[in-house]
Amino acid sequence: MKREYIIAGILLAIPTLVLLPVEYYNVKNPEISGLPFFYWYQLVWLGIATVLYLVAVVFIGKAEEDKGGRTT
Amino acid sequence: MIVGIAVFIALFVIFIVIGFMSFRWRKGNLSDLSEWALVGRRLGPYLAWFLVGADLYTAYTFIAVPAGMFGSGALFFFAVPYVMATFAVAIVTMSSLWKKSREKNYVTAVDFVKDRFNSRTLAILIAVTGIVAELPYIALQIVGMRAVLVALFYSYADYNLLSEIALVVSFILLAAFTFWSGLRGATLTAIMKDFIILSSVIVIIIYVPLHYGGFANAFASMGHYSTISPVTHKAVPLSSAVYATLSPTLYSGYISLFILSALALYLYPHAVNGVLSAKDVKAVRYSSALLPIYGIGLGIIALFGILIYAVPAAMHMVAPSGNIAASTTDGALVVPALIVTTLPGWFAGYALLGIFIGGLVPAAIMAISQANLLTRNVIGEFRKLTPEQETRIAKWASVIFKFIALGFVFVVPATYAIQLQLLGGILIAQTLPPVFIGLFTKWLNKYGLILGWIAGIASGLFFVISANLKFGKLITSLMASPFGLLYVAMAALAINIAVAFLVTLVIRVIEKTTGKTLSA
Repeated sequence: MKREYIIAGILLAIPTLVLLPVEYYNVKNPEISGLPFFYWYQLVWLGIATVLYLVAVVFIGKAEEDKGGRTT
Repeated sequence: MIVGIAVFIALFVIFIVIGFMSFRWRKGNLSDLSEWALVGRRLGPYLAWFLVGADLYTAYTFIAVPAGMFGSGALFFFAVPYVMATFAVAIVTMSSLWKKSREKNYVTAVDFVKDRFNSRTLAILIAVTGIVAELPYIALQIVGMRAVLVALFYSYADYNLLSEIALVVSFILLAAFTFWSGLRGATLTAIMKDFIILSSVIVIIIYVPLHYGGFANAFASMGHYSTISPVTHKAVPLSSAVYATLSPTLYSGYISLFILSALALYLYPHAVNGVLSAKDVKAVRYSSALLPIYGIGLGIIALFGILIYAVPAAMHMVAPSGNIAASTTDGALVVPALIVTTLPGWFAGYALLGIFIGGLVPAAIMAISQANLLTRNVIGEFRKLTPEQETRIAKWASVIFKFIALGFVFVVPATYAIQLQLLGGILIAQTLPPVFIGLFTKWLNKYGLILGWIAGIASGLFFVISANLKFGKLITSLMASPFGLLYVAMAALAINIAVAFLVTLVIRVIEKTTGKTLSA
C-alpha cells in the first residue's frame, strides 16, 4: 500500500472516529445562543470533515498520478 | 398568502420550462440509455456537486428529519454525522465503481455485480432490492411535497383537496419532463433547487431566532405542550430534556443509525446514478469531498424541529390540540409551517417552492434509476434488448414508478411513509456485500452472497416485526440487543456478512479437498 493512500485513509476516517463516542460530546454546555453543545459541535465537524476530505482527495490524486497518470 | 401562491406558481413554471428545455443542453442521442439516464457521463465537479447534492438532500432531509427532531428529539440528529460519514464512504467506493463503469460501460451497480460474480440470480436479487427499497423513498418525497402544498393553501377551507389536485398536476408535469429530457432535466433544475433552498435556510436561521427569542426560548416553551407516552398511551407533559441532549439509552441507536445510514446511502440506485454521470473520477472525488458543506444546511433544517417550539402560530398548525403526538401528519408540516407563519408572503412562496422541488428532483432521479435497474438488470436478463428498446422501456418505466409511489401516498398514512423509508434502508443495506465488498475483493463467492442476502433480508424483516409487535403498528426501526437499542439494519447486515463469509469458506474448503469446482 502506498503511503499516500494510508494518509488519505486516515484523513477520511478521522471525522467518523471523532463522532463515534457520543458520550463525551453529549452535553448541554457551552451553548451558542441557547443551542446545546451536542448540536453545534457536530455541525462544526461537517466543516472540518470537508477540509480533511479535500486534503485526502489531493493525496489520492497524487498517488494515482505517480502510478502513470490514470486520473481520467 | 395570495402573493406567496403567485410567487410559488411563477417559479414552478420556470422550473418546468427549464426541465423541458434542458434536452438541448449538451445535446446527445436521447434514445441511448447512458445519454438519457447519465447525461452521457459528462458532468464536471461543480455540476456533479449540484446534481448529487440535489439528489441526496431530499424531502428526507427537509421534512422527515425535522419531523423526527420535533417528535422524538435529539436522536434524529444522527442525520448530521450520517451525511458527514457517507461522503468518506463515497470517496472510497464510488471512485472505484466509477472507473469500472467507465471501462465496461455499466449504467447501474448491478451491471458491476453481474460481471463480477457471474450470477444472474444474484444480479436480479440485488436489482429487485434496489427497486423495492426506492419506492418508499419516492413516497416520502411526495409526503413532503404534500405537506408544502397544505401549508401553501392553509388559509383556504378546502386546502386538502387543493393540495391533492396540485400534487397530481405537478406529478404529471414531472413525469413528462423526465420522459423528455432524462437526467439533463434533473441536473439543470437541481441548480435552481439548491440555490433556493440554501438561500432560504440562511434567511430562516437568522430571521426566526432574532424575532422569536431563539433556541433558549424554544426549549423554555416546550413545557406548554404535551405528548403521548408510547408505553402507557396516556398524555404526558413534554420534557425538554430529550431535546437538549441525547438520552444515554439511545447511544447505540444513535451510532448504529449514523453508521449504517452512511454505509447504505451509496447503495441506493439514485445515488449511484448521480455519481456515474460525472465526467471523470476527479469530479466524483471532489464533489463528494465538498458535499458535507451542504450538510450544514441539513443540520440547520433539522434544528427547525426544535426552533418551531418558539413560534406559537406554527405550533398551532402542526399540533392544534397542543399534543404533539396527536398530529396526523406526524410532523411533516414542521418546516412548511415554520416558513408560512414567520416569513413575509412572497418569501414564504419562494422557500416553499424550494422544498417542493427539493422533493420533485430526487423523485425524478429515483424513478430514472429504478427504470434503469428494471430494464437492464431484470427484463434484460430474460430478453435481449436493442439499445433503443432498452431506453424506450426505461422511459416508460420511470413514468410508471412515479405513479406507483404517488398512489402509495394516497393509500398509506404519512406516519407510515417515514417508517417505511427506514425499512427501505434495512433492505438496501443488505446489498452491501456484493457491491462494496465486491469492489475490493473477489474472495466472497456467489453462493455465499446469495445465501447472505437471504439471511440478511429475512432477519431484518423478522427483527422489525418483533420490535413493533407490542405496538401493533410500524413505529420503530430500533431493536433491543445486548448492546442496547440498535438499528435493525446493523444486526441484519452482520448476519448477512457472517453467512456470506461462512458459506464461501465451506465451499472453498470442499473445493480444495475434492479438487472439484463448485463456483465458476
